[in-house]
Amino acid sequence: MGRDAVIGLIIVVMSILLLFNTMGIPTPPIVPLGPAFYPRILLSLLLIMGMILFISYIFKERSLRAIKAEKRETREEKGWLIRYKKVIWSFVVFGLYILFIPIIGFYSTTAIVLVILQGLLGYRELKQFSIFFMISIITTVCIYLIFEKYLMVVFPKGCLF
Amino acid sequence: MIQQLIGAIGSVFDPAVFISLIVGTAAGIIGGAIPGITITMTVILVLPFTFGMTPLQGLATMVGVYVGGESGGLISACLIGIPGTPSAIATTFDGFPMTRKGEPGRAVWFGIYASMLGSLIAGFFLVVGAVTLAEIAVKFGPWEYFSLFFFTLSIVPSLTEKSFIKGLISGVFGLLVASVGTDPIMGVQRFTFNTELLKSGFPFLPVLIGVYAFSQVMTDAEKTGKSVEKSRYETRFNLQVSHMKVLKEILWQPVNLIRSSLIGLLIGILPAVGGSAANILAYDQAKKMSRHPEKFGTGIPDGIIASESSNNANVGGSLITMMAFGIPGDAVTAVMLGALIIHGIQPGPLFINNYPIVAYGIFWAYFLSTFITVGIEWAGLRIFLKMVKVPGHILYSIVLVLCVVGSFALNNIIADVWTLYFFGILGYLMIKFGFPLAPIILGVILGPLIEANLIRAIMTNSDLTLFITRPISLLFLVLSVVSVVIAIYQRRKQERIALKEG
Repeated sequence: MGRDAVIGLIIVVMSILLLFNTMGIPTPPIVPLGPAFYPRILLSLLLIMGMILFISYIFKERSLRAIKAEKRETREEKGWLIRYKKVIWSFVVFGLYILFIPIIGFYSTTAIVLVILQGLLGYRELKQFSIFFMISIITTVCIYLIFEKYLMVVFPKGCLF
Repeated sequence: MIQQLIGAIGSVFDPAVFISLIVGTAAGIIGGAIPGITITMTVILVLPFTFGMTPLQGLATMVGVYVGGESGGLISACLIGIPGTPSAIATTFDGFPMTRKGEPGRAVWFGIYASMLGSLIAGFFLVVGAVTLAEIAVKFGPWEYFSLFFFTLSIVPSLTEKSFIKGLISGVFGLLVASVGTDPIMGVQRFTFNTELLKSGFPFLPVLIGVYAFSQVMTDAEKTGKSVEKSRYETRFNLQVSHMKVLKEILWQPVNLIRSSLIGLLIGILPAVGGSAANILAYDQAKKMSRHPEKFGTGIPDGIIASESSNNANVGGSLITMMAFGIPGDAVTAVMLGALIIHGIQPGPLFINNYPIVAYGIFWAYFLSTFITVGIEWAGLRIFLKMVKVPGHILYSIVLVLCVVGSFALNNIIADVWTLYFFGILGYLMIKFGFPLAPIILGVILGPLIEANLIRAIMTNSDLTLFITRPISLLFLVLSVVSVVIAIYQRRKQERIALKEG
């Protein structure tokens, strides 16, 4: 099954589940249109469009051209784990970053994450890391001065800073 | 109108506002010039700085970023052959060949002056158009509003080059996202799954930052660290040029200039489509209408003029839609609408009337930043060129952290940062699976408005035919159908051509 068909199915399932969820939305007795009315319209639309996406994919699959394109696609997809390694790691690092901000403190996590991200996205040579450290410290200090001192934004301090 | 314009002039020359405008414009030029940093990203990065400002000061800063950014993109487009923003793509077609022919100064200044003139032409329409349209829109009832928003949402997927159905899904999904939280009429919880996090719904700006900045950076991050970055750009250009001669040559092509500016303006007025569409369309039209189309792409001024005047005129158009209807003309104006709401100003047709100083101040900021842009570029072209060389991995890491700063600074809660993260991942997946991003943002912005007007219309009068018996409402609905039909027809045609060729 192609990617679009899978996405179509996901949308259909999600819409049905959320439509069931709207049953739980209380409807005040006096009002003609309850709060569930509008989301139900949206979910029905999504349900239909998810089906269209799924069905149109099945139809397309018949034409030779789509099959060819599909083959090309799958060949490309084989190396996706390698190709997207950097992005996946970046997302993981970033998730941990947000998780640790309230625990360790915004400034210390930011300084660490900046070094990790630069190393992750750039070249990992030892010489480079001194530059990464410098940039990370300068950026963090600038954020502190501008936002904390000047704009009065109070970032979580955590156990470190 | 003239009276209010004159009345607002003093507020823009207030030192705080004026300095913010200059700083914003400079930031815009830099952001615009650096490939990989879009104008939307720049305006998002500038946003947290504006929280503490007065409404006009904040909006003026953003207008500066917007106008400066559309011009800044041409610096890297002309001199190193890489568009600084998507709205300068067509500028590279002729700008870079001109540089390689040994005329880098001419290439850049053709761009800068064409930008300026395009901006000024659109500026006239901005003032007249926004005020007139707002006066019309004030008379709208809930039926007209609903149909207008419906039209807005239907037109976007048909204008995006990606799959039509995916555009629609993206738009409706955006509406659904907006419906999470407390419902606007009864105050009942919807889709909150009994979590504290979702009770107040998804805040708009973190969603926008996630979808437009975070996900884009991740897409660009795939390409970092490769050999492309190691290549050294030539930066020792001779940028000397006779400014009078360049200006004269541009004015020698009034048809091209005006046509391209009008294309930019119209694309700008259309909701949620930005300069990236305008410059290519204008370039294409200039080529088709030209007496010497074969010369396009070899480094002729015509191409630069078309592309650059259209992308700056697009700013004027987007601002019209934003100010007259409270609908975003593109992603940048979406951020501006968010900023207005933060400052407690309700965008919509009453905006110009209720906040004349802010509204007319925006007009002035627009005109002033056009000239400030030229001044800054004149003084610092070489500095900007050096900044373009900042390596991607450093740039993107800093931008990602600033996304967090921006989302957090809004309400000082970490939940907003999680929203950013979630929508960043979602936006990234949407890009990868071919879903356009503009409709989801439009959906999130228009969601509460569509629902409120729909419910209000039905509660005022349960007669549903009012949507099609009220003429303006009918007009919008007919236009929606027409735009969808045209879009489907064109796509079929393209598919058929592609099938024949393949």
